[in-house]
Amino acid sequence: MKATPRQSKSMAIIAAVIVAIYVVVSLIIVIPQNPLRSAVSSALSPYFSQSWRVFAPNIMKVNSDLSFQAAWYNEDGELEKSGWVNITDIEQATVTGNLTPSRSQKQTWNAVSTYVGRYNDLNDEQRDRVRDTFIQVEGDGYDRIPDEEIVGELESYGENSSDVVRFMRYDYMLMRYVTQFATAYYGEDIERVRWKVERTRANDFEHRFDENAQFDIPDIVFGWRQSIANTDPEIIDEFRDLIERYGHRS
Amino acid sequence: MSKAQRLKKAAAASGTRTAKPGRRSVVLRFAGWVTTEKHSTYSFALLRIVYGAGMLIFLLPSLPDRHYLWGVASGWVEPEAKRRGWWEIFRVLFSKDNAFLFDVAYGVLIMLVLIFIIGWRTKWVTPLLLLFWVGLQSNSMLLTNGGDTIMRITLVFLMFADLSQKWSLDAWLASKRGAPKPVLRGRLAIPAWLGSGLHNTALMLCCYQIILVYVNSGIYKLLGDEWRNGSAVYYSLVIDEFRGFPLLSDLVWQITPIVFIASWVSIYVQLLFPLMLLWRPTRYLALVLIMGMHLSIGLLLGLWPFSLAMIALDLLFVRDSSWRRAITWSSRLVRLTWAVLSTQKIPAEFITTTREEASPVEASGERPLDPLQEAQTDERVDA
Repeated sequence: MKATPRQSKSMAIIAAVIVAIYVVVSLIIVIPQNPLRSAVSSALSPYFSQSWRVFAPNIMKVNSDLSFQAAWYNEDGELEKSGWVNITDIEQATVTGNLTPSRSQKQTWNAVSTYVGRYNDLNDEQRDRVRDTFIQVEGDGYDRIPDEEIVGELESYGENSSDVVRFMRYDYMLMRYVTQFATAYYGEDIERVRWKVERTRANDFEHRFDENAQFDIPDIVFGWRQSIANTDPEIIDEFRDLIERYGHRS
Repeated sequence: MSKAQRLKKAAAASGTRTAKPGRRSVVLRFAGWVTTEKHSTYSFALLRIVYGAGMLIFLLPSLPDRHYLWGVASGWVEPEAKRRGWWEIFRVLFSKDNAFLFDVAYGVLIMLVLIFIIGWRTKWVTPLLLLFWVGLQSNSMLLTNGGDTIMRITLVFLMFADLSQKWSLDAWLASKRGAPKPVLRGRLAIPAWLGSGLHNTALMLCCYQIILVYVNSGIYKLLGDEWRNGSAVYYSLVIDEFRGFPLLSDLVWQITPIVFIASWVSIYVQLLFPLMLLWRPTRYLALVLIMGMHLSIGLLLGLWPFSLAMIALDLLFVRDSSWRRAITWSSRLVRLTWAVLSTQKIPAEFITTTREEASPVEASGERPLDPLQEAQTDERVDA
């Protein structure tokens, strides 16, 4: 059925309007710091969320890895501590020699990036506090310091309540993840965990052929957290499978 | 009174308005372009296949890790994943509680991708693919990259495009059995001009989307010191996450001119991409350079799904007429190669200079093996 001139023009107008609307909306989403951004983004997020920085403006220069240490009560009733295990290294065993790696390459890499971003939003006193333990002596043993107590303490150091809450949410998430990973890795009933972010950086372009490493970035070591996580065997088996698949290759 | 004034007065007297001829013709040409036929049908078919390949390259290597990344063992990311606010329709598809149901959904997604690639019932498969593809992505906020994002956004547009007019099972079946009967018939039937209009609107949206990506990314690159001084590509090659082949990455960054050229080409081809599209020679140059960039990203940084999605969208700028020419040339090339290999001679049909030059085939006494070729040769000689 051939279009009449009127139908043809109407369709063209509709097409032009649809394209124009998307052009305006997408520009509002990608142009930073414009007054309409938050309203439009919240209406169309997350489906049409987009950011096309793609290694820019400041290209990534630092490798950030997540490593953990776990502790459990041994048969003698003593708290036994493990050595450090680099989870990112295990996940990224899928990368080397692989044209099409599994998405496990991104998991802790991205988690650490967000976590460190939220850590950096805290002030110095708050950072000192979260690098310390969240466990306290309770009677003859130990127990976790209640969340509201930690949050209250952190909030007393600054006027950035939302930054504190955002950090604490991620911290709690990592505690669950690391506990599950450690349970699978050691096969023990994990009592507490802590983690650190290990950062390495290749020499700058001007020093690319130098033998000596130009940068030695200190690790950020976080304090012990009491383990509270779902250690259902079905879940732990999945972690164990991953460790067996990649762990020995790292 | 001038002629123009007289015409204007006459039009006013008759109650009609005269539009400016230039503007009117642009509007009419655009209306004709939108409604007369579906454009870039070859490119859309290739996009369908390349998108599908990109999705498989994502889904298959992650198959052993699926429960760890998105399934029962991914409960720990749930507080943040939930906070992203995905619609419930996406969130219910991939179970985090039941591994069997998760596997069924993962299997369905792989099947949908395969059906999408071969192009069967594509207009029904595309929305389902969108649903499952985004459903998987919504289970974790840690695992997506730019390629997933661009596929997610453009799949909305692609639901309205005809992706299977060429190189598909749909097209093959239609050529054998005739076009399938439409679901909506009679007065409810969707007219051809509306189908073309929706298809071409999707084409414009996809083309705009890829231009947005390039210009946006080009501007950000222009703001970065390392991009401007030409060293950026070095840094991308020394990040662990992207070092699939460390020896190859190290070899590339040790050749300094490659680092400089690749960094600058990345900025300026992206920034100038919309301008380069306006003239055919620069359009082809832009496409070659930018697709070269994506192939390098795929090979050196392992970002194949991203690279393939971008290449598929780049190809939308190649018109059907160009594809037809390319297909004609390549089929001639294949026939020439076949003929040369089988007869050890260049058949006369491929020699278009003089009659004398065509004669050795006949003079040698060797006849082409293909009867069709023989007829063509005879016809040429007779002519």
